[in-house]
Amino acid sequence: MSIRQTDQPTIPDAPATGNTINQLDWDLLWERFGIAVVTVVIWLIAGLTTPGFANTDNLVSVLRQSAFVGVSAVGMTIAIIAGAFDLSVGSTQALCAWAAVSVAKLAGVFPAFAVAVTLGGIVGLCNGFLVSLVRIPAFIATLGTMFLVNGLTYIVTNGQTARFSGKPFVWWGNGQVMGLPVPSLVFLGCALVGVAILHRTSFGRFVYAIGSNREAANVAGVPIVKTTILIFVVVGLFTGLGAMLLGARLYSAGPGLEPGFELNVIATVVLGGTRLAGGRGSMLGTVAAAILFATLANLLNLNHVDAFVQRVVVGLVLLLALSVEGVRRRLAEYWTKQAARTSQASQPVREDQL
Amino acid sequence: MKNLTRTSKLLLSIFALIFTATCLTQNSAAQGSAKKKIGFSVYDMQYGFFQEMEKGTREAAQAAGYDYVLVDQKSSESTMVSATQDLINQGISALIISPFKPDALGPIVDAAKEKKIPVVIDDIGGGGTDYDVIVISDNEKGGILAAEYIDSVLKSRPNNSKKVASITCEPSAVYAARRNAGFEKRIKELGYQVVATLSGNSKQEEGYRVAKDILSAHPDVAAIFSCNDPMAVGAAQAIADSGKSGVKDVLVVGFNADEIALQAIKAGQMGATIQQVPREMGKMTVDLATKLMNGEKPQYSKADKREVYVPVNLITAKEAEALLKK
Amino acid sequence: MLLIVCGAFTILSRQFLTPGNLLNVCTSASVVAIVGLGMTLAIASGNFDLSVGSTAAFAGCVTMSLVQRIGVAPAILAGLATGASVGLINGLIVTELGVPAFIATLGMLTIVRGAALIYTGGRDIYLYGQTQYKILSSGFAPVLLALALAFVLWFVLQHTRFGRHILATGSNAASARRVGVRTSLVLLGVFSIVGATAALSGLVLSAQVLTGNGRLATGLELSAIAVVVLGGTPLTGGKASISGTVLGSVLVAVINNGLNLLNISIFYQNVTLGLLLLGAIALEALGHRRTKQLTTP
Repeated sequence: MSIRQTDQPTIPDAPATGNTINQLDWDLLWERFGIAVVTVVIWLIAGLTTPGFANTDNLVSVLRQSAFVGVSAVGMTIAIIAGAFDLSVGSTQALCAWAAVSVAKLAGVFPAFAVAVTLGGIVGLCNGFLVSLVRIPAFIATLGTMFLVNGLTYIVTNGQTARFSGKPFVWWGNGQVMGLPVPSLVFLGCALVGVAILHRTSFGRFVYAIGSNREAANVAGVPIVKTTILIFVVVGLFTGLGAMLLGARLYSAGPGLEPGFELNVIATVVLGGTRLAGGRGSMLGTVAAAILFATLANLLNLNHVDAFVQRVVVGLVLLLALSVEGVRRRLAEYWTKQAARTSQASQPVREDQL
Repeated sequence: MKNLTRTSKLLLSIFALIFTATCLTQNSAAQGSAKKKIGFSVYDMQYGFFQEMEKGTREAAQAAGYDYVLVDQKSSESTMVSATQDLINQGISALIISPFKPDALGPIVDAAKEKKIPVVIDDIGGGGTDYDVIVISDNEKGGILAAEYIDSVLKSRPNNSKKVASITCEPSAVYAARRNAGFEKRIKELGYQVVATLSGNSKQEEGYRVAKDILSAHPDVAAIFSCNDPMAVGAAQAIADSGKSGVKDVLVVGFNADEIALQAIKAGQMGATIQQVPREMGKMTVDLATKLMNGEKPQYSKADKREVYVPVNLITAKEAEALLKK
Repeated sequence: MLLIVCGAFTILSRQFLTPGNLLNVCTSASVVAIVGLGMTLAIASGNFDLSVGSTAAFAGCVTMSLVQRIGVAPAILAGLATGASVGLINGLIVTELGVPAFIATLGMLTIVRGAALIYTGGRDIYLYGQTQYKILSSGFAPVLLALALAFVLWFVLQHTRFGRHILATGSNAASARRVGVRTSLVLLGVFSIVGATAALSGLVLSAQVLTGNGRLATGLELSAIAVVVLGGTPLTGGKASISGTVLGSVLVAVINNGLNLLNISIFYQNVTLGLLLLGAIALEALGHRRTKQLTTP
């Protein structure tokens, strides 16, 4: 997949190249805001057409549900911008959630939070180590860690689920502050932290650099090894936090919690506009995508869509959203060819294939 | 790219506005309707067992004149909580749930209680929560029945190796695991040796693979008990493929009384299965829900745990024939 | 590595080296190998296919539902065609709509699974005594199928233009296009093949248990990718190791079988698989000490 420039030198007033400039803007706009806009629109339409959607309880529930995948997706966004991804977040989540619930039972909320986040960080450290020092490609390394952590969780817990319903703990998953669900506020906070990390720290700059062009970054002196390890640690930390929230929401957690979670997280990030090729991303998109998925599940239930059909719909939405760019590009190519044929000015034919 | 950040802020504020607007203009009260609504949250519609349960629940609810809403947990506890929450938010008058993970019932029961919605649990487990009533088939008893059946058949066989194997469901199905636990305990009491306890991950093709491995490791194994029917049928196929009989050589017993198992039993490919009665259980839950909605107390089999028992039955060839005809 | 593991199990379990058991191992290896071989092609071309499990299930359902109506052989063909069609759709989404393969097949994973469930209405299709169809899974058939497929694909990759185009697309699609390789067509072909091999796996599985249902082969995609990786085909594309995939499948099958023979709890089986995967790759990575790309394919 070719890396496309975000900062094209402005093409001087060539006639009928309005198309070209517009194409560029549209792409970027769609990537950054597309999903957010879609989510808002869907909320509007659903509010008007689906009975039961637009009431407080339901909306709160939808927002709440989006947070659990969302928190982990914040970390994953950073990873994908750097061009890596982490398949082990599902297993990590199970382990951390179980730890959080167990510790909360024994020692209270804050220790639970500390343990969950730390565990996540440790797994992230292992991943980072495997990827940067042992030089295993991220896909395989995290695939292996996924199996490992999964098995370990079963062994440590002996297959049993931990349960705890202490009010201060479960408030983190079920409570509300000023009408908004607590996990969603945490999610929002994480997203803001994520944005800050990406745009205000040197680490963030390195992430973008590695994602855009690893070789160049290396040559330019970016500390690749340290950054890579840190990336995976960040993913692990966020996952651990999200895990604690989930454990609080469910009043319980055990091995085998949410198989397929990692794919949901990756799908959320990609749906949000961050491309797998790396180099750029949209945290706003991730937030919107998380909310969109939760909204979709909710709407499907409210409209009593058959469970088997639901699976098809969810997959279709994912594909549809990601095809928009491709379809638009096809159309643009077509129009560009037309314009080139009719106008005198020769347009630069861009190599904009995959 | 300053205008882009400004645009994001703009979008976020639009979003927030819409959210607050809808909150203020809508109240959380349900749509007023004359009919009462029953919500059923089911474990996973991919399985025959739950399809039967759903059918029973739906037919009973509709017969009683209720509106009926269904959500599928798709074998995920996170979906269980969110989908059931969707039900609760739709203004149901009673909640029937067959929980994927009873341990995660806490938030659901709390949310239901807050809205004064009675909670009826259909099988699997109660998770130690404050449900109103649970209809439960005795998994452990089922395992014991299987053990006793196997013993009764093998006793009369001349070269009874007294070796049996146990195939378990996926590790996270802790309530189904009671079947194997009950089986193994009883069969050991009866003087047998459990040579292998392996997991088939509740999948049919893995039941096949695991059974083949069991046969390799212990060619003289006399019986196999499987935690569910798909795996049992898979195991029976494996035995058939090895040139043996799932009845005469290695006695295969399953659990659930799924249609494929009944057919297999009838065709002489496997020995027996333990029947749960999901359809009846579905109906029972609706009756119980009605009672609860009318403010009556249900009749418990075990009052302190608010349990209503449903018997499990051993199904062998002759019963299988009759069941299939129904 | 394979030899060490086999040796260990031979010592630990008397039953390991018996012909019956070895046949079992080869059979279960073949099932994964068949789809793994297809996946090798996909990875060599620089893509993934996460939907193979669902495709396998769908094809299994289609075939099982048709066996009694149109006969065994036509039903098998129908199943394979179903798989190839799903693969073709995957390919179209990737080439025409520009969706990255990872996401495209991720979406298709749920779509096809849902389709399989809708097609069967969630019910199982069980065909007792269907001895003809059983041919697919009895005796040496799966092994032969896998070996034949391996040979065919190896031949294609080494000695045909198509094969060379696949590898070219995998190493650098843009350069390939510049020298005239019709990458879109190549990818369509690759995905269709992947779909067909997935279908074949599904058919063998459903023949083993003589049942078609929508739940078949969940998680097959991860096993397939794992054996390809174990076999040494790099995720970055451009190279393919057919023999590696076959050996990888055998290794995984041996481990699963061995652990079962020794009656080891499932908890440890996952840990073993993870360690195995990491260990094998680490060995290879440390052994070569080349600068590998750390980023995603």
